[in-house]
Amino acid sequence: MKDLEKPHNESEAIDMLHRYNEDVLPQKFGKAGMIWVSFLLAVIVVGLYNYVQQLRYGLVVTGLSDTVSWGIYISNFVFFVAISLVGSLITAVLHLLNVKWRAPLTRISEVIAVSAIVFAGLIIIVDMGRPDRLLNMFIYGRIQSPIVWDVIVVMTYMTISVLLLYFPLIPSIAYCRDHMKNIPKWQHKMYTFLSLNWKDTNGQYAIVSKAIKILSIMIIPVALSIHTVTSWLFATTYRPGWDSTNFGAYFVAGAFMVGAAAVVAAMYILQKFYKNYDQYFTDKHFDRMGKLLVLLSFVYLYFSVNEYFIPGYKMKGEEAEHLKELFVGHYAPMFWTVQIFGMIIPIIVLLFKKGRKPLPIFIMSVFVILGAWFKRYLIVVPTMLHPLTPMDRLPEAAKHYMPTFAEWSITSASLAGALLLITLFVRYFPIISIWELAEERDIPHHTIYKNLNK
Amino acid sequence: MKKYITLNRNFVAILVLIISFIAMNVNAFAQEDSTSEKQSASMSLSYKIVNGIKTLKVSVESRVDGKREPVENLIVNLYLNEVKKYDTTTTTGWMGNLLTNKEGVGEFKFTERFNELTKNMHEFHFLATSNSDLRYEDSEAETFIYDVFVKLDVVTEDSISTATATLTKFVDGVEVPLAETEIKLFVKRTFGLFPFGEEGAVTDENGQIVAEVPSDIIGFSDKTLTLIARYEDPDYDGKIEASQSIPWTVMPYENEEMARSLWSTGHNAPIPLVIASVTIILFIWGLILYLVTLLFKIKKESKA
Amino acid sequence: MSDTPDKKNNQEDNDSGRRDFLRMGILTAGLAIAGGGLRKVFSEDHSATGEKVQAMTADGKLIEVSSSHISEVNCCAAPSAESRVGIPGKKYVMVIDLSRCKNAMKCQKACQKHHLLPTHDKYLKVYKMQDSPEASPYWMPKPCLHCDKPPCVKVCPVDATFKRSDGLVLIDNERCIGCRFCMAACPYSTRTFNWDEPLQPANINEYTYSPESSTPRKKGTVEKCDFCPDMLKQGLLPHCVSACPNGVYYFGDANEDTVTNGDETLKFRQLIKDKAGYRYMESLGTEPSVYYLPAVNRLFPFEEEAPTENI
Repeated sequence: MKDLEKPHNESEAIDMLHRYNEDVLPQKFGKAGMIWVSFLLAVIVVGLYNYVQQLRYGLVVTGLSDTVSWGIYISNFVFFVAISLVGSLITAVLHLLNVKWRAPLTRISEVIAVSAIVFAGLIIIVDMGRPDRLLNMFIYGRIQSPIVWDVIVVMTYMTISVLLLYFPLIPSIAYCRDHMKNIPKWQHKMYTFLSLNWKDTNGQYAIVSKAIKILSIMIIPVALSIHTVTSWLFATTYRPGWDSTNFGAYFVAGAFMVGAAAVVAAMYILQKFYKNYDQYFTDKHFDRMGKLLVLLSFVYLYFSVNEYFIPGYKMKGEEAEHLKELFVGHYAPMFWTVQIFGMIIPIIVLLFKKGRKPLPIFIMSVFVILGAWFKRYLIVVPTMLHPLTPMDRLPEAAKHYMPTFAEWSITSASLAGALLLITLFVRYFPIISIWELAEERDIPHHTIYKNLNK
Repeated sequence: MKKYITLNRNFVAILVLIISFIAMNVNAFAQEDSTSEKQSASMSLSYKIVNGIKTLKVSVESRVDGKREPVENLIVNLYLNEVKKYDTTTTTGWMGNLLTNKEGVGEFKFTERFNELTKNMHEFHFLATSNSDLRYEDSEAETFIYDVFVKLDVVTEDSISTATATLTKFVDGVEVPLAETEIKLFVKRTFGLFPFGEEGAVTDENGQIVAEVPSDIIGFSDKTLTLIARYEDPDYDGKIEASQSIPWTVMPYENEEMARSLWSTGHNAPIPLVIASVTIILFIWGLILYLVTLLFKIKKESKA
Repeated sequence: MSDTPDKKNNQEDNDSGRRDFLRMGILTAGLAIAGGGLRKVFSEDHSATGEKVQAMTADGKLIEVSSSHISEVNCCAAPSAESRVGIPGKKYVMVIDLSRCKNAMKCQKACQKHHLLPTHDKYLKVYKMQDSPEASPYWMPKPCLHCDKPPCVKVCPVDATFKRSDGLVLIDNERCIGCRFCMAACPYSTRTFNWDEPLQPANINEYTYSPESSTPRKKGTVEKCDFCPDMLKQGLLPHCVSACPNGVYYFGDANEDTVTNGDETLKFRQLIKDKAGYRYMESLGTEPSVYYLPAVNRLFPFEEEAPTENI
């Protein structure tokens, strides 16, 4: 696999950019692509059907009860929020640190971020008992409520993420507009509309660069707040397992880890489906992402230890019941599987250079992502089963929580929806930003401009 | 013609007999059927005289699986008879009926009209009955109300208030004091009555009882305090009360104003929280707005 | 008793009016026998209008006999906007004497009935408590504690649950969006949720909604014990208080410094002082309006019962 070289002269640069741009033009789905999309659509349709049932009969179609009043909708929401942090990680943090190899990863990470945050917003509406009263949030919104904070930061983050996806995308859309032949009329119109009369002028590049710089800075505090505020939905209560001052940092660390894993997984899958992508997602990229993932996993490990060891050392009252349930009780198998496969094993594997080859790191990333989903389940559900008041004399249904098929189906539909959004983006837009790649290699903008007019 | 009519009369008489016989039988069967499902009900009467206003209360209960349940929507006929003899067939003395509520209670408050009609009566004998209800067996209860009077006077001197309650009874057209009888003294509260004075105190030969009103008791917000003297009828379930409102200076505690707090309404949010959140939101969304204008600028730039 | 002239008159009146009685008597008997249908007409009439039944006196003149059809559930409950203001000058408190509770469950039964609750939803629960392994267990009734610093109200995003000046924490089920954050935030597990369309009496449409009666209940919203403000407005005690056969519950106005259990009326602050009253989970700083008197010198021995749901 060859790495992207720095061109020696202008004509070489023009040539290279042209080749790359042609390389990454969106392609029609092959057979696998169609099967994948059909599968996602099927999952979504089943989920939608179940959601209509839920609208009709109420949340009774779920396994929730007065004891466990928040279940997998909420843990899934937290998961989505966590995944969405990747956008700010790759685009902003690495951008500000001036990390050179990040360019091919920025767009895919932003797409993941936007899809995740959109579906985080949707799944939280699914969890509402009265979605018909959604507007009450805006009519009667109460600034003292962490939910209102969360709504504000989620909407802000969604807007910023969309902008951070869109600004660098404009030149690429313009390239599609000018170079993609044999496409349906609507597709061409869409490119024309979205490319905002892009002419590759220096002035336009200056505006885009400026916007990206502003966004890269402002997305960091906003991204940190969406995770922190989401953790506050739990940490502002008195419940064992949630009543923790460590929660904000713990959530942010976990989100960084799963976000990085999501990018690795996406890189690997794209590289498998588009053979020519291996020149953009090289072994070097996997290796570096692997190192980053290990670092982030260590940070998460650190906060996890804080989160469980300190209360475990004290073992006070209700907290003890909750922790015993996790360590040795009913939830122990899930808890230890998540800790070992979702954190310990990936750390060990990725510490070795051979572990950072594409396939092993992909497998580790999948472990991390699955672990992260169940980790959020373990954060939400066992705590709800340990209220501060006695659990005796409750109806049998309120003593346990088992998500129903409808609940699984709606949750799966939201995950499928996010994946579909990513898939459709890949279908219609270039997933690698060539102009950023060029910029990264110090190729002047006027060269790119020449290239476009070739 | 005349003969025809006679015949006809006989015929009619026979017909009536036959029909009534059938009807009686049917009725008997019907009654048997309905009585087999009927539950027993027990009725009780009590009364209350508050500042001379008399109220008669009927309570009806039935026993369901050993538990007492109030009987709702039962028609109770009320009879008053000064000769203490009732003729239910002619309904002599029948006053009307009342309907029990969810608690199985019906009340008859003596109206002015009624009081006027009975102003020379010093003894009321009430009978309450329920007949022929489809759900419950017949039940009845009776009570006597005699003219017993409770009077309450309060004198305040040197900021010490003293309550004097007097108990009298109408005997042969004259009011005579009732001695050696218990009268309870209370302060009226929002819920319930707060007792004061010596517990179990009885009236003296003048039918009087005297007690000091506790000076630290909290009055109503309109700067009054309501005192109540109560005599409880030992024979019938009755209470005779007199009440008196007096000026009072010990005021209730006052509620704190609903301050701006985390648990107040949205309009009443803590100022620092409002300032902080509005500042952050305006700053971030201002930047976003600026970035959106940049998008338009990109479009313009192409023309340059 | 001698026949006074008045009395004679009365009797004469009586005679002259006899035919009228007969008519009325037969009519009444007819009503009683005709049964269900007519009686229903009666009850509906009175519940709706609170009018009085016209009937005749012994002297053939009309008197009024009160139908005394007390309060339909929400006769005294204000609509949503008005119910956000507390009853002026009041500060309601409850004192629960644990030494008197024998798990009779009458409180819960009365509560369920009044709030039209099916068996699986409960505003008031009775817990079996045991403070240490050596201590004897006891029963602890737990309504909503109507905290002065309510964690549930803190987190509500839409002001659907609110704290009133009279100390009550109520819910506006016409505004609640069903996010259930309040349920997560309440440390006392007080709140319940209408997971489906609530089971309610067939005539529920006749009721108008009020946060003060918590009825009619609404699908997809949170509900809880409301301290029966519709009763309080009538000067009556909450249903759990008046239903308790053992006088466990004392209720009253802290501003007036008085609580009563119906039989016994006491000074609130003195009671708390003398009997070492405490509040559940005081350390959380929620400042409940409900106080407990410790389960010492009990009236009843603790009797274990088969583990059941509440009722």
